[in-house]
Amino acid sequence: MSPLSKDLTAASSIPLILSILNRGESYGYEIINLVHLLSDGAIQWTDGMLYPVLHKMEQRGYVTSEWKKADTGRKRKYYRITPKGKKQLVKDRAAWSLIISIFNKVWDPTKTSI
Amino acid sequence: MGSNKDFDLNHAIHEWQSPLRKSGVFTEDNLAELTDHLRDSFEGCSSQAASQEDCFRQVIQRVGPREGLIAEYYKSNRSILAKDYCLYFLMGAIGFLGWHLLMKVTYDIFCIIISNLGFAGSGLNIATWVAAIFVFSLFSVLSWMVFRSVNRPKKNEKGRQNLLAKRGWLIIVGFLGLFFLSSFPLFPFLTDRPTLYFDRAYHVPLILVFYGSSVWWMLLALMWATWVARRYEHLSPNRLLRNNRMINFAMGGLVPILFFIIINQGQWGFLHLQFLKLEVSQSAGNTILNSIMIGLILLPFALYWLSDQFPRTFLSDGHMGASTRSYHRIITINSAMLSLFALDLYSDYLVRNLPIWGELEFVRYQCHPVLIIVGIVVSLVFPYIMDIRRRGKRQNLVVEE
Repeated sequence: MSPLSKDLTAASSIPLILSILNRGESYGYEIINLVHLLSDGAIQWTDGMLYPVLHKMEQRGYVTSEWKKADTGRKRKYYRITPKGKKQLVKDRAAWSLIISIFNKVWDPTKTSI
Repeated sequence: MGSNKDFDLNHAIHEWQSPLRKSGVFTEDNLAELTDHLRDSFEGCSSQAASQEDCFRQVIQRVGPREGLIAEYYKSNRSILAKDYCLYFLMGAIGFLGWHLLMKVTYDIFCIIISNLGFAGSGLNIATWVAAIFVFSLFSVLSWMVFRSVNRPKKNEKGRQNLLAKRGWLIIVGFLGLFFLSSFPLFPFLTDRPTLYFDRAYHVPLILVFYGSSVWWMLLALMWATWVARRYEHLSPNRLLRNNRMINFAMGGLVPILFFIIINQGQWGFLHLQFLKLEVSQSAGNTILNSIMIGLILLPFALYWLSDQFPRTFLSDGHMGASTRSYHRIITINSAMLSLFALDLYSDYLVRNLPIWGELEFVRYQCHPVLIIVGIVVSLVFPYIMDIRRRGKRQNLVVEE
């Protein structure tokens, strides 16, 4: 699969991160690997660029972070979704679903007129 | 196969992080998080890569170019940095007030001492010089002490120490630069005031000494501006800014210095012309100074416009940029000082009920205070506006090498 465009990658980043964190707390490295896996490599984030986005989400109140001791013995910063983040995710989900439904209608070959 | 034995991951991470730390854009928390990511990523690839060096190289590549990281973190840390600038503005203001207070107190003390010693007539001028030399010496010693104390290593505070060391150094250099500039007008007062404006033969050599010395001070000021630009050239988050020698030099230090020279020294230049019987009328002098000030205010806009029109001419690999947090700090400190200076000038006009434009009874050529304030606002706000315009507010998740 060819890599997603830069603009689409940027636009989908916050809903995608919120969706992952909605399943449970996580940390940067894990989020990146998960996105890579789920998209079959189509979404290729530059690793270091994820953190400013997470920080921005934290500033907006969508996520909170906490340093915890990981299994490796090292300290690791975990991110968790907040109620405000969950509300935002509902909005994002509705918006993306709308876009997907529009595309489905437009691309449906059985429908000759819109 | 690489030499795994010699590879030190901690050292490699430290080396990689060093420019990020120096940029001043990253908090300790940011750096710790990136370090953790590098280690996770390294552990993930070390089993597959040919050597640890190769593995680390891959990890670094995936994390992204340092300049891209600086740019993106700069965007997300902008609000934290804004609070920082308020602190620096306050520091500049306190520095300016402290300097004036110290000058005033020492001047008055030396006036009393010298007049009591019987130096009638020229006593005040000697006092000015002694006060200036005394304050400068005191300032140098204090600066050195502050610099030493902030440079001293503290336990478990490596990052903090570096930040403080840089901050201390910036303040010292900023103060020294402004001190040299503010020393210009003192030169003619080596002699008695009453004869200063009238005795041409007596004052020509002094004027030559004044301008001869001014060249030296100007060189120091230029060295300071160059130091500001060069010191942070490699850290600029903005590729265009970083690569644009002229713009960065102008914005990184020269424009604030020129503002100060025009505001403070302009009047003395015209006074000296008067000594040489090349009198310029008050209104003409004001117009010239104001025009220069407007030119300076417009200079960065013109340079940016030119760089847009002729990118190939303006872009070069010779870095000399300064669009960094530290650069903004210097601009902020300068602006605080210039703001107070403008207020000082303005209050002087108000107290003596003098018109800002036109002929004045008291010979004084001056920029319009409003123009000075516009100049300060432009020098303070312009880098931010250009930053936002060029790089946009949105975060990037993909950065090309």
